[in-house]
Parts: sequence; structure tokens; C-alpha cells
Amino acid sequence: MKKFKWLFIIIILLLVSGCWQYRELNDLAIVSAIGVDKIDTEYLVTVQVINTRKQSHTIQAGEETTVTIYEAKGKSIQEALNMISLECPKELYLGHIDIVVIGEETARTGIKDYIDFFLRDREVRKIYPFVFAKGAMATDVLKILPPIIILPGTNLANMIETADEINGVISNRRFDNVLDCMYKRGRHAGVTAIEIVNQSEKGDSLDNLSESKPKTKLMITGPAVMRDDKLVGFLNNREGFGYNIIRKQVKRAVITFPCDKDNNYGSVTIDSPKVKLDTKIKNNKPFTSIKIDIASSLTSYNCKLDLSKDKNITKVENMIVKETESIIKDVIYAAQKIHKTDVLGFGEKIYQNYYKDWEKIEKNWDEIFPTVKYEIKVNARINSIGSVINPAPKGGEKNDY
Amino acid sequence: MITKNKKINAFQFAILGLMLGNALIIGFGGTIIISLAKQDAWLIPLIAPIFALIPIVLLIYIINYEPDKNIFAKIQSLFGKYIGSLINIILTGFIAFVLIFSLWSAVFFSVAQYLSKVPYLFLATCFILTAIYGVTKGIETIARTNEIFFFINIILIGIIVIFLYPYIKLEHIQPILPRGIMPIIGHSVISLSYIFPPILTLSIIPKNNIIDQKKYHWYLILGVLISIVFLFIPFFYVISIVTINLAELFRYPGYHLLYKIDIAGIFTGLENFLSLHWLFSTFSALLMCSYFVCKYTHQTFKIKQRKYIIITNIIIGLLAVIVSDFLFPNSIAGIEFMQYIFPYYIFPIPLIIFIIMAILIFLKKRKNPETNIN
Amino acid sequence: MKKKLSKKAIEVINEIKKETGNSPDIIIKTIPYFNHYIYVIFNEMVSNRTTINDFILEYFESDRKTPYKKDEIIKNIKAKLPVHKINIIDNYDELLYLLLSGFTIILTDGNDQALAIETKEKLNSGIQESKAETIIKGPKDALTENYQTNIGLIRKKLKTESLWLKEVTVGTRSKNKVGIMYINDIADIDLVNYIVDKIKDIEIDSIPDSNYIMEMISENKNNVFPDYISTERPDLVSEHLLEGKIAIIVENSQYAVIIPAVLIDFLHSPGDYYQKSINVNYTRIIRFLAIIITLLTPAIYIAITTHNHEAIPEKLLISFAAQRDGVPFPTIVEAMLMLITFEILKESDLRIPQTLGSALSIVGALVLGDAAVQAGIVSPIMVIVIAITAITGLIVSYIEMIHGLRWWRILFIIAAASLGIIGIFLISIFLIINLTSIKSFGIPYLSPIAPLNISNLNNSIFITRKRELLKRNVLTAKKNIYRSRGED
Repeated sequence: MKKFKWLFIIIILLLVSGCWQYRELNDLAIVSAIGVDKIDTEYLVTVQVINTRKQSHTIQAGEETTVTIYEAKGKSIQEALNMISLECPKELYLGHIDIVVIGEETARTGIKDYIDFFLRDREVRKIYPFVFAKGAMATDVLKILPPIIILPGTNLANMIETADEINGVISNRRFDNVLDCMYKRGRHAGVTAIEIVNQSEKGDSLDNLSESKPKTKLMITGPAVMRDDKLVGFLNNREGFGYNIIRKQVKRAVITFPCDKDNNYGSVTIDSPKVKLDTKIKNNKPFTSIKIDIASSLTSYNCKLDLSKDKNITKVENMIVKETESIIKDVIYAAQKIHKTDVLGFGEKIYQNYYKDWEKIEKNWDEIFPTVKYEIKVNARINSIGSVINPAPKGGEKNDY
Repeated sequence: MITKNKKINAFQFAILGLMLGNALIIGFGGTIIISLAKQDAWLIPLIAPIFALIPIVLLIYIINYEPDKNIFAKIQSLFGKYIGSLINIILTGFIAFVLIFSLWSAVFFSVAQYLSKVPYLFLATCFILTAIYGVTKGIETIARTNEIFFFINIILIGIIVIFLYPYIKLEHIQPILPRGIMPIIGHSVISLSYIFPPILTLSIIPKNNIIDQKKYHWYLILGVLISIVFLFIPFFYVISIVTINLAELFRYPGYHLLYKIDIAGIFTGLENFLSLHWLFSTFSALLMCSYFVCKYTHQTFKIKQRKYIIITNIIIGLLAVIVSDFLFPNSIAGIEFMQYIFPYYIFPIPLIIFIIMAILIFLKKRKNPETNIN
Repeated sequence: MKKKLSKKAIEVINEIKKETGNSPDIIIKTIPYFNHYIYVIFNEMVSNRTTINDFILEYFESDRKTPYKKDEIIKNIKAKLPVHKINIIDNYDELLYLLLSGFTIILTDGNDQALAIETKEKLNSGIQESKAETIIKGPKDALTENYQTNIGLIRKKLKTESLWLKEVTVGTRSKNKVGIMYINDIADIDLVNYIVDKIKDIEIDSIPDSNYIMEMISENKNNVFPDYISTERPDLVSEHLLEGKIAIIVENSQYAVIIPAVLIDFLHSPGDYYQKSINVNYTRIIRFLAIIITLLTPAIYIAITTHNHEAIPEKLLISFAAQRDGVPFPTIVEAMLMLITFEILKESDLRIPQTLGSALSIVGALVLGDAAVQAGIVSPIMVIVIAITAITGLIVSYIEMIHGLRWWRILFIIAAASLGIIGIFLISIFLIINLTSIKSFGIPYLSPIAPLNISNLNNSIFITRKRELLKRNVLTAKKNIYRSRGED
């Protein structure tokens, strides 16, 4: 009887091997990036499919590109993707999406309508970066072939990741982080945005790369501000930097501060600053206090203060403090007055620490937020000043022997 | 040298308790508890052990009585022949229901996340046949298999804990206890109804078949308590990393949690391998519940020949598959049933049976204090 | 036939000739001895000429002093003949058996008894290096086909008086001697008696090798995993004997069998104790990983590339897809093709005579390697996967284990192709249930892991501090757990 059971199972398995879920790798069209635009009432979905035949490390003019773009229209994203199957010879595989781009116009009308597809489909993983295209449609963004890294979608994702690591302006906002903010918990989402520089028709062909300076390229800009699920505006780079500091998303960044009125600047590189954000309710009014601790190393210095004296270092630190305070003030101004959206998370702190009060003011938080008073305390410390103490002499300066 | 597969030792008993305690919660039970308790679901595994002591003590008390009989014989000796058979049928029906539910939740999870095109019946048959194969080998095999499952689970959970640790943000836990502590206590008691049903199958092992008879109850208590505390890890991680809003959104918040694992920047897609630890726990419940039901059938219909034993086991397995397809045609009906009806109306049934048994045993002991009851 | 010998020598000789079909290699010498004739019968092929000439015939030449009476001849010859082993036999069964084993038979008229003198020829190669189980550092002698040499080699390692030997003769035509060795105060006497009884019950006509015995007495005949260790190294045998295990030595077989054996024993190598324990732990880790790799690699590769594409790191995904472009077969067919080709190569490598060796192995490597890839039959990554599988498969010292794993490897591949990682999960549960249900002569196959026995763990997976070597395996050495410090 036991042998019968073995045979039974083996036969069943043998008979069905190859059916159902079995899909060979070369039968799949691996999608590297998806872009969504809404035109009137229909969705235009653009899909970048990796061309697996062409994998050389150099690109010459006249050869195939490494990706193929397909676009289709439909009443929902799923329908549009189905339409693509009429053009594409292989089955679309969405498991390795590198990036999802939403056009600006579409984002302004609200993303809740179509975000459902990305949540429900079981193949789509939810950890890719989610960007808005500033001043452009997603299709245009996806058609541009950027240099250095061969696959455009991966290139974009890598750009965002690298910038996330070393540039304080950008932070990698994954899809699930964005989703998280769409619930009323006192914070709205800030989403990475990209824009096209020098848009031209040549952007989508290999000619774009035939010169050492490509004509058209993509650049990441400051984050976009969303209220609930609608895009309401963009922060510029400086404000974006402040936003990242408050949200503790900075891994490494550069702060450039003016030393005096003569346009002399020094720069420090900072690692993640320690930020403490607290919102308390004082006299029935919310009051935010922001404490920032910066540890920095001086990397570029163009001022006249002599750095071999300790009190000068304290002066430089004060300059850094002033600069940081001004950055934070700018971003709070932008969030409160310009966009009127709590993208910084003041309300979230009330929700987390003072739940009973939050329940009272939750509905009106968007009106209360612009009136919130705040105080900023920044503490900067220069840990190292680099290899030289003072800048190189400009010539004509005598050395006292 | 050829010994029958009958004896298990106390450590295996405890490990059985541990794996069985996790079985129902890790699948759908976790989703239900998170949607009930919302923000504070992570506190439930810390409070539930207090309430869990009561059913465990009941169980141990019952196992200690008449150490050479399993639960069916005990019920018949306590309640008499006819009422005893009736109660046996009810108890077996309950365990069969637990079996069907575990099978359904395991297969549904596999179909939803891994193999969307495979028909449900086929996959369920594969699962149950493997479980029946384990059942025909005897309780000792089941206990040893459970030990190996336990070790594999520890490795998988260890990987999850270590690689997800950097993503924890404690502020997502706040606000803590927004509505006070009373709702949490209520939810803890309800969550017990998802922890205990598989553990009740342990009553089928007669006490004489356990080596280390003196200490086994300490082992069992420890095992069940540790299994509840083990649940702290998934709940805490889910709430602190994925945040409660997203956790409510997704069908399997734990699976979504595993998306974030990123080992050395290369292996970003390991959620399929790591979520297997759920399936291992559920498999333990499948094994023990099938063993329970099969033992009942063999005892009631007095089947002794090996050939017929195997045939009956296979038939029970296939019946479980068919009934599960019939009872839970889609997931919403199943979850609604488990959320609203099961903890309040169905789980108390075996609890009441056990309580009555305990009372009867107590009365019997009072009547004849010299009877040999351990 | 247990027929008694007749008093007339001529009748005995005629009977012998009739039974052996007048075999020309049986020599019958008639020697006059005082007033009587003595008949010396031996089989030329299996007896040692020198012994017969120098000791037996020479004696009869020299001893002419005292005349004996007829019925005392046998006793006197027995007492005086300068040879080390003389038996008195009185039936045809024994006579023929001893004659054909190389003994010399001495018959006299008027006596119904005969003398059998041990004069066996050594028909075997000397003690050589162990060829199949090589280790880097340690004793290299190996057991031979000679039964006495084998037992002698083992006794040389353990000169204790508690190393007992029980002998059983098995095989109706081959009449092999089977020796069961065990250390009396450590091993389980019930187990020994059980095995001896079982061996006595074996009914078969010949036992060419020790494996036949194991086929008869093992309880897990239908299982692919072996429950005995078969080794040709006497140092390994003595190690296991000290743990309380039982060694079975079969005449004409070069391999000794050690029972009971559990899964962990197959993952040890004989040379593990001859190097520093910390360094050996490194090798052990690699060996454990290798078992898992050899079992699961093709299956995981197939599952990842056909069902669960998310698990592939992205950079590899594109390269795998590009590699598979020109290949006509589905992945599972590729995998089975390569596996079967590798097994064919391995088998035929054993049969190639030395002279043709190198040319054919070059062809084989070409077939499996570049040419197949260039022709577009397999993809390069599949060659790598199968090569890894095959090479890690050879890391275990006991081929029985690896041959057992081959079946499971194929099952895993089929399951991975049909159900992806769930298939691997189900079949691995199958494998676990299968392993945990085996008992090797009373000891569960997966001890000490399941049932967890912490006191046994110290030597099974990792060799811990040398001090722990002083404790034996608790499950087999039930009585005597602590070593050295004298036998008490």
C-alpha cells in the first residue's frame, strides 16, 4: 500500500509538471518601469520592457536599445496592461518593477483611483520608489534613455537610491511609505519628483547618448507635497532638504553656509542629524519644538576666520546653526503658508503622544496647522576640519618666520 | 528491537504544544486579531499567557487521570457509553473543523501568494496526503517531525528578526492603549480561542506513553506559554514596521512585512522562502488534528488491519479536502465566520466539555480517594 | 550428510571421490606408517604446499620409533604432530567442508574418525592502503578479503579481553563465516543476541559480500537510506566498537559492517579525529552545507526561474533570461538531461579499463561542458548548477548515503517544476517524515537531533573540547558511558 501511495503522488506530479504556474524566464517580458497618465477619463499606461537579447556593456549608435516601450489606454490600469498584450510578444511580468512614475497632471487629480491595482496584484511588490514627474507626463519621462546605466528604469531607481544616500535633498520614498501617509494620522506624504531637463525629441533615441553631454536627461528635484491623495505643489531643493532633516531621512548631506557678507561660503558634510520633534498642546494650542543635533566635518572653507583658534571654530559652528535654522524656517513657511499641508508630521506627534487631544482636533488639522507656532533649537558641532587647518594662501601673504 | 511507535518524551510534548499554539494564529488568526485590537495587538501576546493558564491546567488535570487511556476512552468511562459516544463525536467534529480550517488557510495562503493558477483541490490534496503519510507512521514520528519543524522555524524567524531589526520605528507603536486596558483584556481572551484548539488534540496521548512522567506538565506549561510569547515577534514587527494602517489594508500583513527584507542589497526577494515558517506551523496542526480524527475512526469502528487503517486515513484526508472546498468557497465567508462566530459559539464547546470532565473527575476522586490516580 | 565415516579408509576415499566428481585437484597420498597405511588427502588448490610438505609429510617420515596400535594412531598423531590446529571429525559433512577449505585430512584403516589439519593457503593480497576511503592524515591500512586478517587487524587496535567474537556460518553453498564483534561491557547484549539469531536464520546459498547480510537483517529494506555503515578501515571499526556498536565481518568480504548507524554517522569522516578539533569543525560545517546543497540546488534553481521569479536578484534575472534564449527545452528537461548524463559518465568512468581512461574522460567533459552549451542544447547556468550538485555530492565518504540522496534529488526537481517552492516544501516534509520514521536497530535515525538528546549532541555535529571525547554515545553504549580511567 505504501508503494502505491508513492507511485500515486509521483504520477500526479509528473503529469502536471509543466502546467499551471510554470513560466520560463525567457517567456516573460520583464517590466522595468511603469508610468501612469490620465487623459480625459482613460488611463495611459507606459511600460518599459527589458530587451533580453541585447546585453552588451557598450552602446553604439545604430544598435538596438536595451528597453522597449509599450503604451496602451484603458479604463483601468489592468485593462490597459491587457491591451499591451496585443503588441508585446511575451507575457508581462511585474515582479521586478524598479520604479513607478506618475505624471503631474494625473497626480493633481488624486492617485487613489488607480493606486488599487498596485496594491491588489500579487506579483507587484510594494517596495519600489514612487515618483511624480514634474511638469511632464510619465510617458515622456520613460522614453528618455539616460547614460551610464543601460536600463532606464534601473537607472532612475539607482539615481534615487544614490541621491538618497549622499544628497540630503532627496529621499527614497517607497510606495508603502507613501501609502502609509494617505491615512489621516497627522502627516501627509512627500513624494520624490523628477523633471526632464531640455526636453527634446531626441531624448528617446540613442542619438541622445552619442555626445559626451546628453541633450536630454532626467533630474531629481525636491519633493512633491501631497494632501491626502492629491498633489498640491512642489518644494524646492532647499525646502526639500529641510523636509528631509525634520523627517529624519537624511543619511549624508552638505550644508553650505555663508561666513560673511562677501559671498564666501563654507561647506560641511553632515551625517544623519539627531532630530527630536515634539508637538505639545499649550493653552489648547499646539506648539512644536524641534531640536536638531548636527555632527559635521568641514570640507570646504573659504572664509577669513583662523581655524587654529578654538573660539573661531565656535563661530563657524554658529554659522552652521544659523544656516540650518533658516533652512528649517523656510520649509515650515512653505508647508504652512504656501501649501497649507502638514507634510512635516507635526500632527503625527500629537496623534502619537496625546491621543485624546488629537481626537478633538483631527478633523480640523488642516486649518489649524498653518497657525502652529514653533521653536527651533539647533546644535552644531564640527568634528573634524579636514587635512588642512586654514585655506591655502591667496598669494602675497607673508609667512612669519 | 522492533518497537512500536508509541512513546514520546516530555521535551517533544512541549515542542508539540509550542508549534500547535502558533498554528492558527499565524495564518488568518493574526489578521483577525490585528483588525480587532488594532494598534495594541502587540500587547495581546503579553497578556494572554495569564489567561492561558486555565485551559492548560484543565488539560493537564484531564491527562493525568487514568493514565493508560486516551481521551475517547476517558470520556466513555466518565459519561457512560451512549452519552460518551455522543460527546466523542462532538469533540471529534470540533477537531475536524479545526483541521479543515487549517487546511483551508494553508492552501489558500499558498494559492494566493505563490501559485495563483493551481486549482485549490489539487493543492489541498497534496497537502493532506503528505499529512496522512505522517499520520500512518505513528505519534512518535509526528513528535520527531515537529522537533525538526521547530528548528527550521527558529532559523527562519531568526533571519527575519535580525534583518528586519533596522526598520523598527518605535513611534509607530504609539499611541499606546488609547482606549484603556479593558478592551485589550477582552481581546486577549478572544485570542485564546485561536491558540487553544490545536493544543486540545494533545489529549489523545495517554499519559503512559510519555517518558518523564513526573515533569511533563512543567514542560507543557512552558511550551504553551513560550508559544504565546513567540507571537509577540510577528505582531510587534508588523505594527512597528508596517504600521497599523497598512496592516489593516493587507490580507497578510506579515507577508507584506517580509517584502522589506534586504540582505546585502542583493537578496531582496526572499519573502517566499521566509514565509514558509507559517506553513510549517500550520502543518503541525494538520498532522495532529488528522491524527486525532483518524484515531477516533479506528477506535470507533474497530479497525485493526494495517491495510484498512491506511485506506481509512486516505479517505478521511480526501473528505477533509472536499468539505473544506465546500465550506469556505471564498475567503470572506471564512474570515467572517472565524471572526464573529467561532470564538463565541464554537470554541466554548470543547471548553465546556473539558470543564465538565474536570468536575466529574474531581467528584470521583473525592468519592474514592484510594483509587490509583496519578 | 551427517553420515558417519566408515572404518574402512577405502570406502571413505571412494565416497569423497564420488561427491567431488573425481575432481583432479584432490590429491590422495598413501604413506606407510609402521604396519599401517595412512592416507593424507588434501585439495591442492587451497592448501599450502609448504606446510604439508614440511610439517605433515616430514613428520611421518621422521617418526619411526614407536609402533602404535591401530586404534591409538589417531590420538597419538594428534598429540604429536607439530601443527597448530588439529580437529577430530567423524562425519562426511565436516570432512568435505574442511577438505575444501584447505585442511588436510588424515585417514587410517579401522578408525571411524579422521584428523583434519589446518593448512590453508593464503589466497589474498596483502594489507594495502585503503583506496575507497582516503584521508589525509591517519592510519591507512585497510581490511582485506581474508577473514582472519580482518579480525586480526581489529584486534590489533583493541587488545582488550572484552572484545568478544561470535561466529556463525551462513550460506548453504558458500559456507561463509560471519563474525560478530562487540565489546562486552559496553554494547547492548540484547541487540547482539538479536542480531546473532537473525543471522542464524538467514537461508541463502551464497554470500559474496557483507551487503547481502544487511539486506536480510535490516528492518528498513524499502528505504533508500542505509542504516549501517560499511567501511574498510579497521580504525573506524574500532572507534565505533568503543561506542558500543556491533561490527559484522564476513569472510571473503573486504567491508566490515557496523550497526546501528544513524544519519549523523554518515556525515562524519573517518579522519575527523586525527586533526585538531577546531579545524575539523570547519570541514564539518562545509560537509553539512554540502548535503543540503547537493539535494536542493537543482530544485531551487528550477523553482526560482520558473515559478518564483521574485527571488532572483535583479541583476541576475536579465542575465539568466538572456542565457535561456536559444535553448529549446524547458528548464526541467534540461536539468534531467544533464543529471542523467552526469550519472552515465560517473558509471562508465568506473568501467573504463585503464588504457582507455583519459581519452574517454575528455570526451565526457566536452559533452557535458562547452559543446552542449555551444550547440544550444543547455544553457551555461544549468551546467554550473549540475556541476555544483555533482561535486558537492562526492563530499560524503559513504557512497550509500549519496546514492540514497539521488532519488530524493529527482523528486525535489519534479516537485519544484510543478509547484515551485511549495513543491519543495511538501517534498521536504515528506523527506523529514520518512527520515524520522526510520529506526536503525532501535535507535531513531535522526537522533540526537530529533529526539533531542543534549548530552549526545556534543560530538555529533561539532567536535567540542577534547575532554568531551571521554564520553560515549549514550544511546548505543547504554551501560558504560565514561571512557578511559580504566575499565572498571
